[in-house]
Amino acid sequence: MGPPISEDKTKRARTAILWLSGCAGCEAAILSLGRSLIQLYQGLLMDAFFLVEDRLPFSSQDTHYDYLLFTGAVATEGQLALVEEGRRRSKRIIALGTCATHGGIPAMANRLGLGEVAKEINPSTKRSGSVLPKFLPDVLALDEVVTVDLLVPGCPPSPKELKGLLKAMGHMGPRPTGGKSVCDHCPMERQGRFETKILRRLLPGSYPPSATLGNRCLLEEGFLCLGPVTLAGCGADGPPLCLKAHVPCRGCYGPVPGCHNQLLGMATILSTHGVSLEGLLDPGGLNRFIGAHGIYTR
Amino acid sequence: MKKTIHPITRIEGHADIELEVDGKGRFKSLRLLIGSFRGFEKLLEGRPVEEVPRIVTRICGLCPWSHHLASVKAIERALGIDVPPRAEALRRLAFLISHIQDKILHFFLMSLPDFLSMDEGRRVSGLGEVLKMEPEVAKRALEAKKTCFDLLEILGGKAIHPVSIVIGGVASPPGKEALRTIKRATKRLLEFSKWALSYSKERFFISLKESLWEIPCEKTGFLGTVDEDGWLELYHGNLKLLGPTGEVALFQGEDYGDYLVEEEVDWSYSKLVKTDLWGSGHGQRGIYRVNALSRLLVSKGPSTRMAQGEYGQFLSELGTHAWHPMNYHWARLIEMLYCAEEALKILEGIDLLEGPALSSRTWVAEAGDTRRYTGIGSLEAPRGTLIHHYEIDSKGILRQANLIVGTTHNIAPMAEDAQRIAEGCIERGEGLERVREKVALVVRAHDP
Ligand code: SF4
Ligand code: SF4
Ligand code: SF4
Repeated sequence: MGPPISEDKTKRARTAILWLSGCAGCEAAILSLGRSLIQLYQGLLMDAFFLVEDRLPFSSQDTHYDYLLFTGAVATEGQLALVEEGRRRSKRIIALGTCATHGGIPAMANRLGLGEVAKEINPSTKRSGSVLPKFLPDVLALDEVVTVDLLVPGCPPSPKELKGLLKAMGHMGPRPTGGKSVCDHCPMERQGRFETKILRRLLPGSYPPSATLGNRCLLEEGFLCLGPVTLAGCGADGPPLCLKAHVPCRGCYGPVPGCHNQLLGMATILSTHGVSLEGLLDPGGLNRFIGAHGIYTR
Repeated sequence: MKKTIHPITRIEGHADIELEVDGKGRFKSLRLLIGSFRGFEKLLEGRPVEEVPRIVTRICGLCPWSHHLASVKAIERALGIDVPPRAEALRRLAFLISHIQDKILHFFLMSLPDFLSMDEGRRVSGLGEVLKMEPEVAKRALEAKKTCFDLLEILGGKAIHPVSIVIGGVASPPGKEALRTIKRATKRLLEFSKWALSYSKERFFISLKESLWEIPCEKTGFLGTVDEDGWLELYHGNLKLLGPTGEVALFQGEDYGDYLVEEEVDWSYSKLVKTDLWGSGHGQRGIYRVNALSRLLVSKGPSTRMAQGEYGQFLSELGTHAWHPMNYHWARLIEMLYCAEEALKILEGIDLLEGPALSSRTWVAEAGDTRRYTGIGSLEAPRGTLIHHYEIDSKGILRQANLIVGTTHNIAPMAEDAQRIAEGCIERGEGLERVREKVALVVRAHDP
């Protein structure tokens, strides 16, 4: 995250955590850190934090932040302005959570356009003179709008990640990052061959596949699993969370470095193993967490 | 002259206030602007049904369990898939713990500053100050919240945005060791819940009650869920509407369309929900509230021993003011105690290792079948009655969705309350900041 903000170790970093278009799950994850949150929180000079602090950001002309964390994607004109203002007034901008780093679930709307979606669900809000926020043509990730100093994906990011982040901010120092895939952390047994050429669905009758569930790679058993194309981290030092629960990865940490499109990555893997792509009932759904950055064309 | 007052904080989601005063500074109107919108109903169209429970969790990061479970319920209804009793018990257990976690967040992390402000007679702005003023309380609350998080990770794969509830059951039922951990931790949560009430009852709920009721709110109807004997129920039950002058309707979640009416307005991206059960002559045009207080008031109360005792005291202390929305917080903590007792009942009374955790039914798409299958799943999310209504085609693809989310029922009554509050503030010559603070108090009581 670049050089330390300040050489003075006793000075607390002025921080704000602001949400854009998201679900508050990233905030809820921070608040689930338990007792250790107390020290982390008090190690920072926390200003605006919409979920738990009644303070508005940039409340005075000279409010500047050392760290400004955004959760959520950029979906409205107001959010765009907030992010731009934030950039001008902060030393470091951190995109927290997959919505902020890749658009996340809110950017699924880019398959149709959020304005279109709103028109269909609630036409009254489109009446002229509406005072409600105006949508941008596309739901954007933070780095499509401003320069971002640190990207922390995860929906939500793991407690370990969050702790490390808040601690590093407290010390105003840099923080290490990794770059492996979910498969690299997965304990499931891979045999290098698929049991089926036709994808199976996670519906009663086809799931679970056999008594071996819990040992064998789900993808090789024929269940779409985005482990190979997804960035590791969700399980911290343990197994990836979904696999631990015997369900396949859906890619919530966004793609591994070198892969920009989880759908294309998976399609290549499936084809290589002779698995029919017809079983992909909703190909666009494989990019459900990364719909920003122009992934969906319409 | 119109003024927009900036976001109401310490709530989930985004709300602004638009206030209009005339040339002499007298109150004209106020609107609560609900600006969050992601369009989930549309985003779900075309998705294979098994993916839906893993997408809808992102509607709300504070109550992803409610959406995960309501979604699975709706799909199982539509496809006619049974769920083995062991899986039902595990789902219920997880749901109760998710309620506890939400109540801790809501009361201790989001709302406590309001009570400390009233208690201290100065403005306490948020968590940072709570950590300093009440370090022991904060520590206990944060620890209990973390306990819930850990249990929910065992039960759901992920605590926030769970994944392990699958169509037909539970993908990864906890084993013996895990169940022992869960039981021990749930006992701690029960102790925490008892303590939470003893901490806040005398200090806030009882001693501040008169000043809480001074906040001018509307007497409305209430909606909640009850079990077959009329007790409070969160997971599986019948919906019950109670009108402001005693009108009653008891119905199944499936029939929500006969009782609840959705209404579009240009100041909220969420639709409003009202009822036509009582006429427009009284009862504020079919406005009702949902969430903890509603659930207690429409039911006979909690069926568990300790929560029942607490509810008795609640009713006798509050008397004819029990309906006032500022009592939501007290009701919420009573419900938390109920959840802990009920969770322990499951852990102590049901063998959670016995029997299958997944349905043995087989579901396959049948060629040539062009029917649409309808399924409606309802439950009581922490924020109120939640309804997922899906149309699914014969290939198992979701074609249409209608979602009524807990918070949306409360928009109409909150908007009414906000009007009254602003009117009073402006008449007394209080500034805009006071309007914002007071409206926020009421919005936070509802748990948005
Ligand atoms: S990244 Fe996930 S948890 Fe965070 S705001 Fe977005 S949807 Fe919620
Ligand atoms: S494909 Fe999925 S199940 Fe297989 S190793 Fe990778 S993460 Fe594990
Ligand atoms: S396994 Fe995949 S989908 Fe599940 S939490 Fe990890 S990255 Fe997200």
